Amino acid sequence: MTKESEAPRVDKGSSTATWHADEQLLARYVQGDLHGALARSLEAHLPDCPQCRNGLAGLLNAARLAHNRRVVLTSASLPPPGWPERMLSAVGLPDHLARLLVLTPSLRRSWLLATVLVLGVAVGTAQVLSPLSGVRGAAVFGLTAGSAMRLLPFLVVVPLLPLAGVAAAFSRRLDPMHDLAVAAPMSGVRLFFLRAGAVLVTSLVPALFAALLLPGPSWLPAVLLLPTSAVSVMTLAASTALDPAVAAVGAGACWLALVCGLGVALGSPAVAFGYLGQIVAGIILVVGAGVLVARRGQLELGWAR
Amino acid sequence: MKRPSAPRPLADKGDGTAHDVGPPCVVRVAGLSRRYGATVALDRVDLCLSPGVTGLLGPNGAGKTTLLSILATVASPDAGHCSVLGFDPEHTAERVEIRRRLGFLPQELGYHRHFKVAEFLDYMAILKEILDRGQRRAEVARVLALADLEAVAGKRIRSLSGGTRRRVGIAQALLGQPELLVLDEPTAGLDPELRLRFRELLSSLPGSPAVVLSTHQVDDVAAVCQHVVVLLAGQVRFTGSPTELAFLAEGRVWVADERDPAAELAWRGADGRWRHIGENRSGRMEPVAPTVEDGYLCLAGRNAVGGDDGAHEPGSRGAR
Amino acid sequence: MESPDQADDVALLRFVGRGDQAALAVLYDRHAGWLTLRLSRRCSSSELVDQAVQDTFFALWRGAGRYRGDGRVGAYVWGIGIRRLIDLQRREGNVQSHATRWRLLWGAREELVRSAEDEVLLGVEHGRLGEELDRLSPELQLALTATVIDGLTCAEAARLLGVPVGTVKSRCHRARVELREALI
Repeated sequence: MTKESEAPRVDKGSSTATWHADEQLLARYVQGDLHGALARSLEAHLPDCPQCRNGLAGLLNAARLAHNRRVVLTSASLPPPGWPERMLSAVGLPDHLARLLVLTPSLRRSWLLATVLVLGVAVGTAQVLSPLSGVRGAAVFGLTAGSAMRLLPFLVVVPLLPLAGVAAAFSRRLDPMHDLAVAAPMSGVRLFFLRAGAVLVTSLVPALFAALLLPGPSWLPAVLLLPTSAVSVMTLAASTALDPAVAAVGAGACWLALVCGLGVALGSPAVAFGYLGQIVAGIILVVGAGVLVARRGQLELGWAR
Repeated sequence: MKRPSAPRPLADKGDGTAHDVGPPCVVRVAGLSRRYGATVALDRVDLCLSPGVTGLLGPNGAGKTTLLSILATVASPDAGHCSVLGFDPEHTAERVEIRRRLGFLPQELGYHRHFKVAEFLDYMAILKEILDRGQRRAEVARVLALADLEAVAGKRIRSLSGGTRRRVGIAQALLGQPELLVLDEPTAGLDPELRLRFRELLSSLPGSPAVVLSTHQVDDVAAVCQHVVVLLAGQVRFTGSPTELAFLAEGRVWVADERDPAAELAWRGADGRWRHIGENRSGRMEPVAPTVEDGYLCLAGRNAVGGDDGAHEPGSRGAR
Repeated sequence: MESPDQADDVALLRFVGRGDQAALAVLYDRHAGWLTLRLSRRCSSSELVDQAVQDTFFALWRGAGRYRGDGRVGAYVWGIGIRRLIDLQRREGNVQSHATRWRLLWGAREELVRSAEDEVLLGVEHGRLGEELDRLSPELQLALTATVIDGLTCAEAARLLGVPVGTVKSRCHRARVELREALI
């Protein structure tokens, strides 16, 4: 009596070792004229019997087999995806989006290293400097003006990082496939937002982590978020009318001018990160986002303006 | 040297009417101008490109790349307007429609350094909006087979020879079965055997897309193009069939054993005899049927030095 | 060192696991034909079958190094293929129509008069069992075929046939009971 879990199988005696399907039987099978027990038997026999498999050869749809063969070999020619791509696919992103994100020009190792380096220097500066005394200016979020000063290099630099990323992501020189991408149908809103999104995430996340390493209150990362986002969104909004690199440089210049101006006028540009600064940043963010969404039809890679 | 009058309308079938009686234009260009700084790249170009293969002939700097870039919606003109496949590239939505039906091969093929052939084609297929993975793989497999690249599908592009890299470029242009192929110097730097394979590929493309290609190689044009446009210094100097281009030199091509100093252009052919274009003042030269190259040289004269390949070096350079 | 062409299936898989594309091509040439046929008898959509076949060989390409089987590579390939097909059918959503097709393919009874060759064929794989299976009612037949012949788990068979897992299990049990009685 057979066990519950075993396949009901007869001992393979000598009859099975020498039995092979003849042409007629195979033809009936291919045409769909074989049913029930006979078909089951044949199907169980075929996979591991080279002779019968070869017997099928003349009866199959050669074109269909050749097509699938080409697809299989093409897929095998593609290199396995790297860990960023696997991670993106694991969270449910369709693989074409993952590919586009991973291939954004300013997401190359050299750029990411440069970002980390800049952040490292800013954090290092903050750690090394001791709070300056004798600096006039209002206290910000409980920090004295003096201790806020040493955080300044960091605070000023962080909003510039996404701008540099945006300029690079759409730069003709850094993207070897620029012309090809322009001539392709997907050179529009989709690509723009994908690349911009990738740039923002990969600049903001390290910056926020670095902010945690700074000597200061733990709410520091939160303070950064609005101003950085505001400046970035302004850049993207300006990209609907200007070349993204020009927009990025312009926004960066405005930010630096603001910071310097506040420093000259009030003694410490830290006010830009205070309550008023956050509110203003929030307003700019909303306005910028509105402009961006309204004018998104103008976003395009490369078409000369 | 005689200069033909204003560009003739294409496919005028000899009845000489003012109307365009040939097949509808796949690409129509009117008054197109473009300059880069002080250089005029295109000067009020008017063109109508018919279905089939059109060759854009001209020396370096004639404006071929600029014209093709504009047709491929990669660059915009300073003046004039064009209509590609019935769409106007000035409008964003129509531009996207053109790009959906377009295959473009630029002069320099750009690719990320680490790219392998299949990977590059897969990425291009994404940019061409073939988003479904199965469909994309099948389409990449199709163009790999068409361009005969199956053997190198897993190799890095930068490790391939120039000719194979060019085939990769052509393969990418064929993704998505475009209606219009814009190829900038597709055969530059290819040896004759590869050029022959390219011609075979062009003549057997599924779907019969309209093709515009630029070249210095007159024999490519003669072999594979149904129409020729000669561009010199940003202006269209001739449009018509290769035969008509050859006809321009009718009665002006002579052959002799010695170089005749009175002829405008002269060079030594493969058979050792001197070929001359111009007048037969000495009366001692034999007339000979003109080739497409002769016709081209009539137009381009000493300016048509033919670029890097030295395919033809007439005139004083031809002297041994 | 044998070339992929002459290698037996297990050695071939080893070649494939080492990244030999030529070996993958040979593997495909050996197995894609019967796999396509066998899957087509379980799915009316040729696009799904094509995709299942492509995905199967791609999975073999990526995972050949993991093969720890008993040498029956064909059965291994089948296991991957049928599971991939079920997955695709499920994603496409139309399980009911696929299940119907399945029933139609298997439910037809073979004619009662059999030739001598047919008798031998029956004896090849399943012996008298094959005949007895035919005499079961269609649902029992399907349940047992899916689990035993096609090698699916009860959960997978349930997905394929569009019925709850418990139903599949009880049908398998009843089928076995009936078969045992028939064979005694």
